[in-house]
Amino acid sequence: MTRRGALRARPGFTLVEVVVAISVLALIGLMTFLTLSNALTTRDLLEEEDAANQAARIAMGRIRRDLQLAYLTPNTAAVNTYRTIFVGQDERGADRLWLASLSHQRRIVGAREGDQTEITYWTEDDPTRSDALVLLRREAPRVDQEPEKDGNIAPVAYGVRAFDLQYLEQQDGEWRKEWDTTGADTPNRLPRAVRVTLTLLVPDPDDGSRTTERSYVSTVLLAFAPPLRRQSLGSGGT
Amino acid sequence: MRRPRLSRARRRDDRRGVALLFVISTIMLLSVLVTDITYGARVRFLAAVHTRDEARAQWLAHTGVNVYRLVLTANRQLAKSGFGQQLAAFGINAGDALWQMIPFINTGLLRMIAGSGGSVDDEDLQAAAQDGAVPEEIVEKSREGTGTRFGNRNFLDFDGDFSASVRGEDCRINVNTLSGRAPETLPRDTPTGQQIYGLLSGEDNEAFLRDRGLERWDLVDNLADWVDADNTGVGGRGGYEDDRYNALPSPYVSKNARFDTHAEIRLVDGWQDEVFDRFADQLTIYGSGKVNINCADDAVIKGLLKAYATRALTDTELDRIVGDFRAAMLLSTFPNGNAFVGWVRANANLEPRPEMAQAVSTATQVFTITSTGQVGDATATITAVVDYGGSNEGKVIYWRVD
Repeated sequence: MTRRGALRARPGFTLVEVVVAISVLALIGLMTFLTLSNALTTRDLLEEEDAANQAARIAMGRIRRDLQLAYLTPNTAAVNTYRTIFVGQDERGADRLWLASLSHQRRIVGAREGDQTEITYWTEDDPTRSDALVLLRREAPRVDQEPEKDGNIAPVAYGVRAFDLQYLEQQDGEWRKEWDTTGADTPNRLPRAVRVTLTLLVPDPDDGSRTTERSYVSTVLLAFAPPLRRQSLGSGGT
Repeated sequence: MRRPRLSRARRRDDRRGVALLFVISTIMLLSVLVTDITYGARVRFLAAVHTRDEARAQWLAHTGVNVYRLVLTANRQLAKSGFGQQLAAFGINAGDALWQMIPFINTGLLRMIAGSGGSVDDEDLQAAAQDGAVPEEIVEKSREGTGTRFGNRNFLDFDGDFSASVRGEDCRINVNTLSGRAPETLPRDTPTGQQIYGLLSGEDNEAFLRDRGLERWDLVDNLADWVDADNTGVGGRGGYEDDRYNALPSPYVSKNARFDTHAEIRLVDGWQDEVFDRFADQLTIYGSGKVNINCADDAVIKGLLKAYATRALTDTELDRIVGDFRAAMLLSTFPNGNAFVGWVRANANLEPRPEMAQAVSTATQVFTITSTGQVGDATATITAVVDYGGSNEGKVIYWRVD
C-alpha cells in the first residue's frame, strides 16, 4: 500500500463525534466544577462557622469558670489586708466586670502563686475590624490590696458586638444590670448567678461574604454565693 | 527507516487513554476533596465529642462529691442518733467512724455493691407508688420504660467512671490559729507554732530543710507573720515583715489576715514548691484548730508529741510510740482528748504537758472531698471543702474544678 493509501485507511473522528465528545466533556467538567466549587464553599463556610463557635465556646468557658469560682474573703474585719471585690458595671453592651476568683492556675514551677486571682473583663475597639469590639481579660497572679491593678492582659474574643452581664439578686430573685460589693446596695455579697450574653459577628450562613450577629448565652451559678431566699423562689425567681 | 505500523486495536487503545487520564484526574481531585472534608468533619466531631465528654466528666465528678456528702450527712445523723449515743457510752465514736470506714468511693465499687446492677424493678416502682412519692402516671410510664424519672435502665449504666476520696481537715494542724495569738506572744510559744515546728522536725526533715538553707522556726514565724495583723516581723528577726516580699522580682506584701485557701500557703516566704509538697498535706486552714487524733496521720501525731513532750524525743522513740499508737487504734478509737493524754502517759513513757488535752479532739467537722470524673479522654477533678460544724449541714466553703 502506498503512503497516501495508508493515511486514508486510518480511521478518524467525524465532526459530529468531536462536537458530541467536547459537549459531554464540557458538561462533565462543568458539573464537576460546580460540585467542587459548592463543596469547597460549604467547607469554608463550615470551617468559619466552626471557628466562630469554637472561639465563643472557649471564651464562654473561661468566663464561666472565673464566675463560678468568684469569691469574697471572709476577713472583712482585718485592716491593711488584701481586698476582694465583685463589681459589674453596665455599659450598654460593653459591660465591665472586676472580681476575685479561685480559678487561677499555676503554670510555672516555683511561682509564688496560689489559686486566688483578680480578674477584669472589658471591651475595647477591635484592631482587626472597625465594626466590632475585642473582649479583654486581665488576670493578676495574686490577690492584693489593689483589686483593679496589675496582671496580664489577653484577648478572649474578637469580633464582639456586645458583652452583656446580668446579676441575680438572691433576696428578691430579680436580675440586675449592675452589682457592687463595695457599695451600700449589695455590700460584700455575691450575686447568686450571672447571666452572660456574648454577641459575636459570625459568617452569614446564607451568604458567606457577609456577616451576621449571633448571641451566646450562659447562666452561671456562683459556687460561693448565698442561696436564693425561699420567698424569692416563690415569686418567680429562677 | 520506516516506523513500525500500529495495529488498529492498538491505536484505539491509545485514544481510550485520554478518557482514562481524565477520569483518573477527576477521581483524584474528588478523593482529595472528600478526604479534606472528611478530615475537617472528623476534627470537628472529635472536638464536639471531647466537649461533651468534658461536661459528662465534670458531672460525674460532681456525683462523686454528692455521694460523699450523703455519707457525711449519714455520719452526722449517726452521731446524733440514739444508737450513736449508746455506742459513745462504750467508747466508740460512731460520729467520726462512718466516713473513715469509706475512705474512697468509685463506680467499680458501687457496681460491685449494687450486685444486681441497681436497676429499678417492679417492686421498687410499686413501693414508690404506694408511698405516694411519685405520681401514678410517672410510675406507669416507668413500667413501660418511657418514664423520665425512673427508666428501666440501671442507675449505674452510664459512660465513664468517677472516683472520690475524703479527708478530714480537723486531722491536720490549722495554721490560721496562729493569727489569734496575743501580740506579745511569739509563735514558738503557741500550741500551733510548736506543732508545726514538731512537724518540721526529725532527721530527714532537718536535713531536707538544711539543704535548702531554711530554718524551722523561720518557716513557722513566716506563717505567723502572714496571718497576724501587724507589719512587724516576729521572732528574733524583727524588722518590717514585707521586706522579704518587696525584694522579689514580682513583689507583693504580707496579707495580715487569715488564709482564705490552702493553696495560699504557697505565697508565704519559704513555703514554695518543695516545702509545700512535703509538709502542706499535714496543714489546714479549716476546722476548730484542735487536731482530731483519731484520724491524724503519723507526721501530725509526731508533731503533737514533740510539741507537748516535756523532754526531747528521738526519731526512733517517736517511731515506736506511733507504732504502739496505731496498734491501739486497731482495737478502738479514743473517745476524747483526755483519753489520748492518758494513753501517752501510760504507754509512751512520756509525761506530756497538760495543755495537750486542750489541743486535741475526737471530732471532724470539716471535710475535703476530691472527686475525679473520667469519660473517654476527658477528666475533671473537683475539690470541695464542706463544713458540718454547728448549724452548717454540709455548707460548701471551697470549690474548685480542674
